[in-house]
Amino acid sequence: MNKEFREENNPQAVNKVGEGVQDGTSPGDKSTERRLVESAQNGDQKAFGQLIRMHQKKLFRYIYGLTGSFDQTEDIVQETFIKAWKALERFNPEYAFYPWLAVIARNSAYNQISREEKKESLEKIQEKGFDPVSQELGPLEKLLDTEGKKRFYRALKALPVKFRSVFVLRHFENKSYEEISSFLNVPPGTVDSRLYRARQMLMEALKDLL
Amino acid sequence: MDHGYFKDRISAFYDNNLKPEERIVIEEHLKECEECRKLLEEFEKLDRLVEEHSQLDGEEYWEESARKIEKSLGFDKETQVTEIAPSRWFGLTWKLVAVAASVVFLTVVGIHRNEIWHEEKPEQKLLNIPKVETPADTGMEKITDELKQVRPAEGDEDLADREIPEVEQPREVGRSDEVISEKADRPDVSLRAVSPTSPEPSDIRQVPSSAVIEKSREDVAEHSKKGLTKPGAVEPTATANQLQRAVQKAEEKTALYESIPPVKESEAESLANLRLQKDSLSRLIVAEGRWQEKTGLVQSLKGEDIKNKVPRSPADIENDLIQICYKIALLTDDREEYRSVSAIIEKVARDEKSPNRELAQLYLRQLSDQN
Repeated sequence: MNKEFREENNPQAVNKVGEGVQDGTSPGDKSTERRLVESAQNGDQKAFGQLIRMHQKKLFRYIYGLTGSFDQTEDIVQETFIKAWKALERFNPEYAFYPWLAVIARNSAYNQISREEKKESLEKIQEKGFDPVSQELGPLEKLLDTEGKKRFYRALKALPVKFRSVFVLRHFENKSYEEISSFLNVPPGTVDSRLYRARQMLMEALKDLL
Repeated sequence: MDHGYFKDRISAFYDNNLKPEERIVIEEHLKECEECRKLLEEFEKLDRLVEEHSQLDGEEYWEESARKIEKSLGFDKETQVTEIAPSRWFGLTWKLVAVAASVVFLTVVGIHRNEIWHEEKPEQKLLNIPKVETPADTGMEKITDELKQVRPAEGDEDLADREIPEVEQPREVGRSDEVISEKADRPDVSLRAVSPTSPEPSDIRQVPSSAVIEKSREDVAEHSKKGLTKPGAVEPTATANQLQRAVQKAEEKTALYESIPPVKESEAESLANLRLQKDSLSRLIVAEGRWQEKTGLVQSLKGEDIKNKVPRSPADIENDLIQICYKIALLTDDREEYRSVSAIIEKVARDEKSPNRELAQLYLRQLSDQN
């Protein structure tokens, strides 16, 4: 995982407004988002504030999924919006805003994932075992209204980071195997096998919820 | 083939990430293998579970988080949408028209004053009046000193001493070389003379203008009774040349004001007038999109110093135009027109070099909020 993504410098690399990934806004919201982006590009702080409110939750979920740390996620999300505001002029409003944010955030999270992954050898994973019950969610717990959600996040957090990152990229961000492979700098076959393992582990942990 | 191989591939099959030939093999296997079909169903269920259980709650937290981000971005003062004051331009326009009309009227009255008041006040009587030097000859201080020596007639003391009520000044009229303002509802104090050297409207008020025009207490009294007004610049003892110049100036002014689409106060906000104003300003834009200066019309629109014909800056013209466009955008029901005027505002809002950029952005925001 030594390849840095720099897609934020190439907003066109991400999806056009109304195409491709779902970013939490309905197609009807696209024109609203575009207007907000254009206003924000003209220095409209209120418009940017609305963009923050539109996307922060989804971005938080994504980054938390990658890092498993509430505090780090808070920092990364904040840093992402600051970077986005500073680089907003470079963004083409014809494209969806969230994927651009996600790339910035992902690059910020990259070092964190990388560090954790190094610490986490397969042997250690096997020693520690998969413990989806006793995971501490910390402040995240307040953001989860149902026991089902808490169980899901405990199970997700309990996943080894190698599996979790693949799972999050696939399930939260709807990334293709190629995109995941490119970001994590692992062969597509590895993505396939890690994703399969992650799914198996989660299905096992949450079987009564399925 | 090993059953483990199929199980491993189900995940990729579910994600539609298999080569076509491999996909066919898996499809064939699924027809026969219940365990693999069950696994595939579980993947689908997991997908739904993730969608449902991964959504975060806690709206208060997100609002607080957004504010925290805004604060770190320097948006600490909650984004304020400045109240856009109604354009003073419109109020100014009717005032300008009124001033222009007053100039013409007062000039005519000034020229023919002897004829007008012939029966009541013979010319000979005027000739006996001690000569009063014009403000231009003496300077305001001297005039003021002289005026202090003039005692008002009995019953008219209050007239001479009365402070002239403040007439609301159009924003940029204060420096006109001759500003003769009249308030129809206050005829007794409407007479006003302004020295060319008068720097500010506030200074104007310190001069008892009725006395500047007429030192004669009788004359002042008579005219006050009639509620008539006279131009301060036109002195009773003025020469024919001075009068001629005054008439010429008035005509000049009138001609310029004629180029302003007539805007009555009651109609000032009407779309038709706004459109006319917009067209006037738009004509100043050359085909390449650069601003063209055209002094006369624009000065008259703004009521600036016509005598000096100071060219208005392109930025001021642009400022006027976006104000008009904003007003039109608020009032119009025509979508095309809305787009057209919005586009003008947007153009300015995007122009980094424009000093009106901020205002244009504000207008856009307001329009966006309106929508």
